[in-house]
This record gives sequence, structure tokens and C-alpha cells, in this order.
Amino acid sequence: MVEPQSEPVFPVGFDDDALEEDLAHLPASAEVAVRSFSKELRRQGGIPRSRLMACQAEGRDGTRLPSCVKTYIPWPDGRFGAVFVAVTHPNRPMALRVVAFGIRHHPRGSTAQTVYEIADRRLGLRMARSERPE
Amino acid sequence: MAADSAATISAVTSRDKAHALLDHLPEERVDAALAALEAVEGRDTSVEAILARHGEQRLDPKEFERQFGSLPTDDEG
Repeated sequence: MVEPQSEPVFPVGFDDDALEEDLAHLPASAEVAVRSFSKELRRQGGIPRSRLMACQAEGRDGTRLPSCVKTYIPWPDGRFGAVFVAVTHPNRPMALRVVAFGIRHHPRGSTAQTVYEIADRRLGLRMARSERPE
Repeated sequence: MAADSAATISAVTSRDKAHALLDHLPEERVDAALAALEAVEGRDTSVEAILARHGEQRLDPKEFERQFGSLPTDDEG
């Protein structure tokens, strides 16, 4: 009998400053969601691979998130989302660092940023018009 | 060169002084002073700064592809 293979679980870390900035612009339900997500991470020792999706290098929403992964909070269809970058550290195993937490979709006409727009801004990949090649 | 060094020392000294002053403020004024200090200093939440704060580097693209290349995508972001 073949033993089922357990899927990889990746350690996840938040950045206090970024999370604080994100929560400051979100409703109180966001803090409840992120606390519950953190509790789940502690229980599981990280996030299982099956709860991750690849971000788009060039999304239809205009965001550019190459080599980023994301999850929905709560899983599997929550209103919130987190965008991660995969990181290495000299003394720790490979992990995922949360670079943005926020709302996945705002109502039409809203000027608030989605979690993808926040991550895109923090990645800083957008070139100023003057820096773009002709 | 000398002017640059003087400017650097002056900036560091002012910042240290501001933090030291917090210790002498009455309790009821600490929150307001901290908020003002944060507003002035600003918090860098760029990915570069986030990773630097944690002593981390982004995973090598080849290794990223190996670990996450086959993940599903959706229609958003």
C-alpha cells in the first residue's frame, strides 16, 4: 500500500510595520480575519502548498507581481487576501514573507487599493515614464 | 567631505535626542509624541525594506520556479 505523500508546508512571516499600515485602512473584520489566519498558521506550522496560488506577472488589473504567490483569507473564497514573496535567510529554512494584506476586490468606483495594488506598489517595479525604454 | 560628515552626525544626534526626550515626557503625552515621531520618520514598507528588516533575500528565480512554478493562477492580481 502506498502512503499518501504529505504536501509541503511553508513557514510564513508578517512584517509588523506593513501589517499595521494595511490594517489602518481596513474594516475591523480584517483584524479578526488576520488573527484567525495567524492562528491557523501556528497550528499548521505554516501554509500548505494547496492554499497558494501564483500571482500574475502582468495582471488584467494592471498590477505586476512576478514571482509572488498569494492566498485568500479565509480560505477558500474569503474577501481578504495576502501576497507573499519567497525568501531565504542564512539561518532559517525557505519561507514566505507577507508583503501585503488587504481586500481582493473593491466595489466598482472605489478608489481604495486592492491587496494586489498594495503589493505592486511595495515591490516598486513600476518604472517612471522617464525611465522607460523608447 | 567634512560638511557631509557634520551633517550626518548632526542628523543622528537629533534623532537620538528625540528618542531620548520621549523618556522624560509625562505618560499622557507619550502617545501623541510617538505618533508625531513616526509621522516624521516614516515607516518604509517597500518589499526591499521589509526583507532588509528581517535579514532576508528573495528566493533565486530558478528555485522559485521549482517550488512554485506549477501553482494554479486565477483571474485577479
